[in-house]
Amino acid sequence: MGAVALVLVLVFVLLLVINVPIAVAIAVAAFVAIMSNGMDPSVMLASKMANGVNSFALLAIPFFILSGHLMGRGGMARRLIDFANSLVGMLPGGLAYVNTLTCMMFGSISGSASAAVSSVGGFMIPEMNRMGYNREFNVAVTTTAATTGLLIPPSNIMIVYSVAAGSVSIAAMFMAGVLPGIITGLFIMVVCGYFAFRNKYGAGERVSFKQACLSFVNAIMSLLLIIIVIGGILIGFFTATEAAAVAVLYSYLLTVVIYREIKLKDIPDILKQTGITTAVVMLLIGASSGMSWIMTMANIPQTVSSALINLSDNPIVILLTINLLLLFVGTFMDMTPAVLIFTPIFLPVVQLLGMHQIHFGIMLIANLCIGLCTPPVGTCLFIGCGVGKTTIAKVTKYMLPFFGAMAVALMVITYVPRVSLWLPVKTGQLKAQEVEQSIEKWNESIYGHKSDSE
Amino acid sequence: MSANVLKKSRIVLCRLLETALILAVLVLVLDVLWGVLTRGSGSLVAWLSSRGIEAWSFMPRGQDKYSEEIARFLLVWVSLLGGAVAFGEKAHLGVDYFVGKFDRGAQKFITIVGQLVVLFFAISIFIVGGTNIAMNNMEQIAPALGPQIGLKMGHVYLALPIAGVFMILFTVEQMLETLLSTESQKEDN
Repeated sequence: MGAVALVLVLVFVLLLVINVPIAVAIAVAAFVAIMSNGMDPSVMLASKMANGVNSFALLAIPFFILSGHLMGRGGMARRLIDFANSLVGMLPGGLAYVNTLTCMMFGSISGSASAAVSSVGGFMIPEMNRMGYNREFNVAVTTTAATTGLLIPPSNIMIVYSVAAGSVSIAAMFMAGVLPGIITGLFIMVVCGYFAFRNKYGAGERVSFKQACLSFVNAIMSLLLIIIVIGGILIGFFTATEAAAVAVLYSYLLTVVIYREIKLKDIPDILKQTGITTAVVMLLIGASSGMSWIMTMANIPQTVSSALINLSDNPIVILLTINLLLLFVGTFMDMTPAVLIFTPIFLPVVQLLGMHQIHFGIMLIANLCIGLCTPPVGTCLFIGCGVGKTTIAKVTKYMLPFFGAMAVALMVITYVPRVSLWLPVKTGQLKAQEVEQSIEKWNESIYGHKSDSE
Repeated sequence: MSANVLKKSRIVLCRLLETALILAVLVLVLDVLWGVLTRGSGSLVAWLSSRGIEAWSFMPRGQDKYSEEIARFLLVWVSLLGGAVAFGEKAHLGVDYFVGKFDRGAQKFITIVGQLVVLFFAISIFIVGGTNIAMNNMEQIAPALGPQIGLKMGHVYLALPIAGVFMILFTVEQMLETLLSTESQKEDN
């Protein structure tokens, strides 16, 4: 049994290091591992690659990608910025708050942190530079704030998690992410406030009431997408997939028919890009379903569980260890593969501690958001530096306080289950009784143990 | 001359693949919207009839029973064909941090090894495994569409070997590029 696990891990790491596409690395590592277990891998993995994506729930992913593309290209960034500006622009250091708030909204609607950095940052960073804000600070704000959109629904990574974790409700994940996303955004704004105070950044103009109303009307057309999706799911009329398809229809009407910012001839290219982005995620999901099958055969989750529990029987330490491991992984691996690979490994461990699977999912995503902004491999950081015309070395100093904010938010999310679980219970996505039981077990395993050892 | 033909056939093949991908995504959206629409119409008809009103006869009486299955099967095709296109555009996620640490020559070597791994992946899983599973399921009828239009699960799995062929083409092409660039570099020296 141990040999299969060893083969799997070794081949996978080796292939990762030589920059083989991660989906291929996963599939080939699983191939070799299944073979070393004495079975025929070809048909097995071919069936996993196809059947792993033969799922109606996963269909929400291409649709959210497509509506994100449409909204992103259709001038949504500008309208959201105007709206955020009329809300918080008049504060000292206002543009930093405007940037954060816009990133949160844009990231939520577009479902892509990279798109938020390039679209919002492409407009806000030069504007902030012009107003005398420090260039590296501007890049740091945009990069970190953009990741909050992955916690605020709708969010594709939550769908990926739902699939990786087994039967987790996508609607519950969506609701669970709202507060953690907003909390992270607020913590980022606190850091902005500190910089604004220290560097005496000026306040923006107060927007006239009439203009504010106008910008609200313009922005609400974009924000309505969130309301349609979440509202439709909450009322129970849509599944997440259907809501996503309706979101596509809505974005199409808004950007092509009403605003006419996208021409009909652009549509084939947008569809092609959607197909490619979707396929990249789906190939990862298909390959991962093959790998998690052989991982279960080789008892890897149990091995990791017992190793972690042997390391310490204090749940606080175990969760800290898991978070540190994930932070490390996040520095050089993208979010989707990390979620697919580590969910089946860590979820059984934390469930032993009484952690709710929704709570773990939110923690996992909040953690990996940090990795999107860290060198050596941080997609958002790279894009941010490109847009802001600066270097990673220069930005890093300004990133540190923002990492601090995200880390504090992560700790709050990790150790206060209700931050994630309160809203889904209130909206009826989770059963109150089930959640209370899980929280009770969780408190017992953390605090009950504490009093024992003292 | 033959190189020209090769180039042209490559362009035609790529166009074909991309067009198939674009159409599949488009149909995917329309199909799921149709599913929502028919179900909405079904609820409306039921609500109307509960108030004793007869709805127009053209209004669908409930969710189209094929829309879900069509959507799932199309997603399989989009994922696999799109996966092949993504190999052509080098859009797949990788970890390029470590390779960057090596010198030029070693990087070329590592790239070739990586491309061989991709070839192995495409041949063993997509071509061999895919052909097998497609052939084994040619009797297996698809639950909803099968009785209607004779669709077999094997047809769904055919996307595997087809995508596999494209993956091999793109990867071999990239391998040649890597090899040729090594040679031109030698000439420079």
